[in-house]
Amino acid sequence: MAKTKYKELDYTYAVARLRALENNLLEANGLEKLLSAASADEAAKHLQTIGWKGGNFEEMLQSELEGLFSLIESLGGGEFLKTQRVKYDYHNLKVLIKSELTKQNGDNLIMNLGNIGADIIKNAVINRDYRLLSEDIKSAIALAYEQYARISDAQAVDIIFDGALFHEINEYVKELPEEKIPVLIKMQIDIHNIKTFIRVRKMGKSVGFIEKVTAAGGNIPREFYIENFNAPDNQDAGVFEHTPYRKVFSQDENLELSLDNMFMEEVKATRFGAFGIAPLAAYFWMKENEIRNVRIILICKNAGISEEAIRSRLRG
Amino acid sequence: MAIANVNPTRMELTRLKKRLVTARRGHKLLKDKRDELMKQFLEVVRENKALRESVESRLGEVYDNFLIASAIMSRQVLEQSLMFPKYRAEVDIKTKNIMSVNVPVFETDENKSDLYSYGFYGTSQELDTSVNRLSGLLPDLLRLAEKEKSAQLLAVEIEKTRRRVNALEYVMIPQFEDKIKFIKMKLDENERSSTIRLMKVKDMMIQEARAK
Repeated sequence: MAKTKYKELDYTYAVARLRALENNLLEANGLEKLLSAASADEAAKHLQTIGWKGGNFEEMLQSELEGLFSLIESLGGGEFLKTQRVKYDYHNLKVLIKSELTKQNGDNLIMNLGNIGADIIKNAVINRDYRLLSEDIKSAIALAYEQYARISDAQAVDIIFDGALFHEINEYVKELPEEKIPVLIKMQIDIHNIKTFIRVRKMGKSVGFIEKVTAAGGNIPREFYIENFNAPDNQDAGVFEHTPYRKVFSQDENLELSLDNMFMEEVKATRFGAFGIAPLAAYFWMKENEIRNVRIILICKNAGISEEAIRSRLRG
Repeated sequence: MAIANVNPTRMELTRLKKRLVTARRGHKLLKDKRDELMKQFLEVVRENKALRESVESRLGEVYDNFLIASAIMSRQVLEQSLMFPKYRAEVDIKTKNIMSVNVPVFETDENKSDLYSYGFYGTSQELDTSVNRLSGLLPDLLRLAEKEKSAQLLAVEIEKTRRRVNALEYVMIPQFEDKIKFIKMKLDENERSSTIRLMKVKDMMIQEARAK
């Protein structure tokens, strides 16, 4: 497929608009205000005063996320958004297939943010009519049912969908007309693989398993994880010594958090471009991270967790 | 009053004496049972307390991990990840006899080979930790349920035995003793009145003989 014709100057308005909107993002000071609120409800009230909509926490977070997708779409970031919407398609698929296999109603878990409308996916899964779905999804569904019939393992179903998800992301990345976003998406894939590598080793799985669950398309090839899978448990820093991610292993803080922070640093470095689609992507990830931080604050505050403990979990 | 209905006969006295002996023996046996039940109960309660404290603190840690996982992941993704569990445990309920109280014994057959029912994209290590810890907690949760139920059943049995001991000690045995005393007194009185009557008859006969 030929790449769409791309002119960086077409995004001048979008970048200027986002530059203005960036001021509304809750950075360290804004998050501190939420953290110092007397309760989760007080924090939610504060969010309402700065324009967040919705009755309860979940509604507020969902509404912000939907607003973010609409904004980036309206500013011409549709091609980029495809890479970010895919995860919702696969989430919906997982919900629908698991609902069918366990005879539950998972409609309340469906998220209408994917590339394919939630109704279309629902109809396709229920009526086995996959015409409107992508080839990746079609083959993943067939493989998932086959695998489930053989070994009745929900995790195997998820792994098949995760593999297809990354394949589809990589396909969309190829279509992106510029170079900075693919670099960041490759980094996201690496981060996913590193987290998975660490988790799988902790779970005590076999090397064959890591081969199935790592994603292609990152800067670090999948073979790296397979080769180093049997390295001693306390040697993670040594394993990643010659990769760009070595610095996160030398830090004391939570590894997932450090990796997320490292990604956000890269995103923030991208935000200052004046032209092109990359600042849109940077804004998208920054806002997504803000939503995640707000979720952490609201949920932890609601559970009475100390300010210090919450602060140590915030990303970016 | 119970004494009012007593038939003051020697047969009744013998019957009541036998019942008193049986009641005293029963009282001693029940007292011994109560003491042993108390001993067993205290042992179960002690174990239960230690187990509950350990389970509660570990559950707290699980909930903390779970809370962090739910803060990092969206509600929908978290619920989707956990909607199809693959960890299965079969619980076999047997019983054990403690001083004639049948207390439950839970035996589990777990398939611990694989706990995680979700993929790795969109899920977090905190979720792995909470699932792992929760599954590690299951045997202790079942043991706790076993101990709590045993403590409840033993407590009910102790209460029943205590009532029986008290009934024997403060009602039945004193009643038997009173009845026996009453019959004895009545029989003695009858004996005395017969003796008096005989003495009177003798006197009358002597007087009649003298008059002749």
